Amino acid sequence: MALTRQRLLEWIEARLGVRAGELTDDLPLFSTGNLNSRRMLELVTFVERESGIRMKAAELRLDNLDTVARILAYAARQASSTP
Amino acid sequence: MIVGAAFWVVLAGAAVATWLAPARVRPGLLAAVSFVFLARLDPRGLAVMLAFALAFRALAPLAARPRRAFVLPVLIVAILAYLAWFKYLPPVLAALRGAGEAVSPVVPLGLSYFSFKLIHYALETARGNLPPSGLGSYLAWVFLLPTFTAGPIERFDHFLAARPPRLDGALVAEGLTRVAHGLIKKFVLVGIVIESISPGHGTPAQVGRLLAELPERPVPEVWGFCALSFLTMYLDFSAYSDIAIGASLLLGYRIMENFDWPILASDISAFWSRWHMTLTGWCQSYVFMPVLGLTRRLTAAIFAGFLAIGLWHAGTGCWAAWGLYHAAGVIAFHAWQSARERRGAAGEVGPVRRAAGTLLTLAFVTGSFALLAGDEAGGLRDGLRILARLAGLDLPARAEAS
Repeated sequence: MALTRQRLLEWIEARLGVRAGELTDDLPLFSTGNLNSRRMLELVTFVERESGIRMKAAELRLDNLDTVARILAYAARQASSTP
Repeated sequence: MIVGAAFWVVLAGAAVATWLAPARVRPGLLAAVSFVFLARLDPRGLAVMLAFALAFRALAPLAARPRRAFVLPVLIVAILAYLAWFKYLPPVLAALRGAGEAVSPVVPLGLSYFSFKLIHYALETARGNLPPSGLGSYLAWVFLLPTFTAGPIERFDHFLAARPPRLDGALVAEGLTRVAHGLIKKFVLVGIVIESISPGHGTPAQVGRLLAELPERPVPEVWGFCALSFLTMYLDFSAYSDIAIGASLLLGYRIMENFDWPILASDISAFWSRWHMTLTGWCQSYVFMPVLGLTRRLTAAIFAGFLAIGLWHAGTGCWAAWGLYHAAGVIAFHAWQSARERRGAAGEVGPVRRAAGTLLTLAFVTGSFALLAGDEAGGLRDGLRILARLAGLDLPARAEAS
């Protein structure tokens, strides 16, 4: 399983109400308040479900989750390191 | 610090010298000027802090190596111990001894801001998230004069990235306007307007009088007292942030914003994305997210994050209760939002509901200032008495309870 950009954008649009046209890869989701603490947990659950991974406690941080680009990069790293 | 002429003279001189100096020496020059000025106010504290800053600079990169990962907790424990020694140990020891009030050593200047910045530096260095930087830039960030005593809690990566390339008229005008906003808030709105409405508002003597007459005071008057406390803190604190942001611009750094009209927030979660944003961001990154990662429990992570926010201000029961009160508010808001989503009622919120949400949020935050009033009097019990009075309830005073 792999998290795709399309699925991630759909999720963000549906859950955050951000239109796909307004969403850039580098738009901060959490650190600027677009994503509140409840949505953060939902995002983690979504990323895990789509990627088929379990995020370690130390991986749950903004440099892995704050933007579309970071989320996709994190998921890609996990996919490439999984045998 | 800002009430003395020396600060403004040094700031003006530093701004001129910084922009006249070659770009490569500006950060070091700014670090030196800031440090010398601050060390004049607190020589011993600044000497220890310089030692800490240099130790973090030298040792934090080691933590990125797998075999030296232990360096990170050692650094964090060391700086937290230094913070606790001055800020948290005295009230704990006083409580254990049964003494009414803690006898605290003189807290080093800007200790809380300094400690949190160094923890950020150590963690992000260990994670490999910080770009290369010179020692001058690092020390300029640690000791930046306008931010050292009252924040914002600037992130080092932001400090390095957000530098205006040159000084021009627009930058000077922006910086001076921002400083003027801060001075108007501090000396006109707080110093004259609020002082004329309620002389000595929030002082221990005034809170003592309120507590002595609490059962007789009309409930709306107690709400007015707490609302004025909230407004005073907002204006006062955002004034310092305005001055720090404007002064930093004049020194060549566009630092992080700290307030974004929190009084207009339509819910308590939004309030916390607009109030003391740099502290909230710090606690999100280094308390909320690690606890969420460890427990996967949103409630635990929110309580931990807000407890840290409360205790960052002071190690007292009133500030801890203040943090937990806000955590309870955010959790209740999330539960309400979830319930609405389950009913399919979530969606665009109209202007009337938004206005009602803003009023409700203001009332909730105002209530939290009842707890803080207790910090100026006998402690948490007094804060709870004022909070109960907001609901028209009378809790017995300590003497009556015993």
